[in-house]
Amino acid sequence: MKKENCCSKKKGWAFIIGPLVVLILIELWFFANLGQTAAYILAILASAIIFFLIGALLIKTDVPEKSECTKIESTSLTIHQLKAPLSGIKLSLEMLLSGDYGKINEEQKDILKKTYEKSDLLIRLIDDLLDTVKINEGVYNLNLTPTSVEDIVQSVADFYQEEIKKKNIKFEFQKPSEALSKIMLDEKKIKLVVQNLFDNAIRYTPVGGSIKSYLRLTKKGLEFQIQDSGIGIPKDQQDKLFTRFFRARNAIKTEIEGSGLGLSITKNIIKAHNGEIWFESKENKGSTFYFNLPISNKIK
Amino acid sequence: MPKTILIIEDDEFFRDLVDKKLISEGFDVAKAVDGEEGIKKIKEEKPDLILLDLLLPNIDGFEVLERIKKDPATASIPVIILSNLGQKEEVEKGLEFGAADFLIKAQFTSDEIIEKVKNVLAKNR
Repeated sequence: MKKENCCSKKKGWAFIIGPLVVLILIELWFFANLGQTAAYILAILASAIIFFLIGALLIKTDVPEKSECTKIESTSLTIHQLKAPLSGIKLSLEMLLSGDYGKINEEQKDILKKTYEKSDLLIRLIDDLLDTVKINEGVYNLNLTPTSVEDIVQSVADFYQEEIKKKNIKFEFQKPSEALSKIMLDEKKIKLVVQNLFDNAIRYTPVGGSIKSYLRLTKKGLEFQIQDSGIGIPKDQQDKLFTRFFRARNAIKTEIEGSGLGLSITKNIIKAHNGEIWFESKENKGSTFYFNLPISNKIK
Repeated sequence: MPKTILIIEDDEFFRDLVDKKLISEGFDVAKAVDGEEGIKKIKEEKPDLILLDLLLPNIDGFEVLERIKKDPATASIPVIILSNLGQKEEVEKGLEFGAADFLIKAQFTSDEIIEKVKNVLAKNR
């Protein structure tokens, strides 16, 4: 579906039509007022300019697309190639554990089991990496299934409970009084979104702060909101927040680790679902992030 | 008479593991390292089932599958695709091209591979 974005040619032709129309009008004026010879000379000049523009446009639009496309494909392929030897490693460990290569003692079994689990972990990390690369480039298909956003938020909240308690943060998740119906979403990706927002809220909220999250049905659809009492985002940095690798100046100062990729990926996913994402923030007071998902494909 | 399984897989490490498991379960195993050799071996060995890797050098797995299914002499042999790609489109394409089943190498245990082989063979009687 979205793979086409990468390899399709940009429609830059609109940039030729403008000058072309102007040239034709000038040509007609020349013909009407200065006689045939002048008009012919202009016609030749105009043709030369137009061919030059077309040539320049073809070169300009061809090269970036191709190299961008090859970059994504070769990154994906490289990542896939990481999995190939790992499949063999995982399988051989599993067969050793099953006794296919002879009986093994308890100590051997123990170490093999741990190695097997690590190889399995590595495979899952590579799959995640592959997902990240694809999401980053906007080259992915949504795997839509009936999903409960409530359940996703609850499971993410549960996952972060320990960290929240460690930082002595007051946490609240307000659900709507009636259970919301399921929506057609890519569950894995929406979970990534919620995780990213929770992660940021917790990360940038100091000890003893508070985080409040809400889920509600509005006219526009399902709205999720997470409000923290953290470091906030300086006003002059707010418009860059969703761009790749961007980290606000005060976030970098805190020395808290962050790749700067999270929000750009989050925005990418919400947009892919035809939703909206926005925020309000005041430096040193806190930030509130919102996203909204249309419920046009509601499942009863 | 033991059933013959042909495995078409270029990764020697992986191929030898599957070979060992199949033999320990009482199957006869034929091996091929790429599509061309695979197609040749199908005609020679007349296997009861084919395990086909999709990421092969030279002709790719899908083309091999297509050729197997287009040839009336080999079309009836069930094919199980072994792959690392595992994307939905690949699975659908494989099944569309006539594969009997699909296995993602990094996700299955050796026992599960054997189970699938036995199931497909049973279905194909």
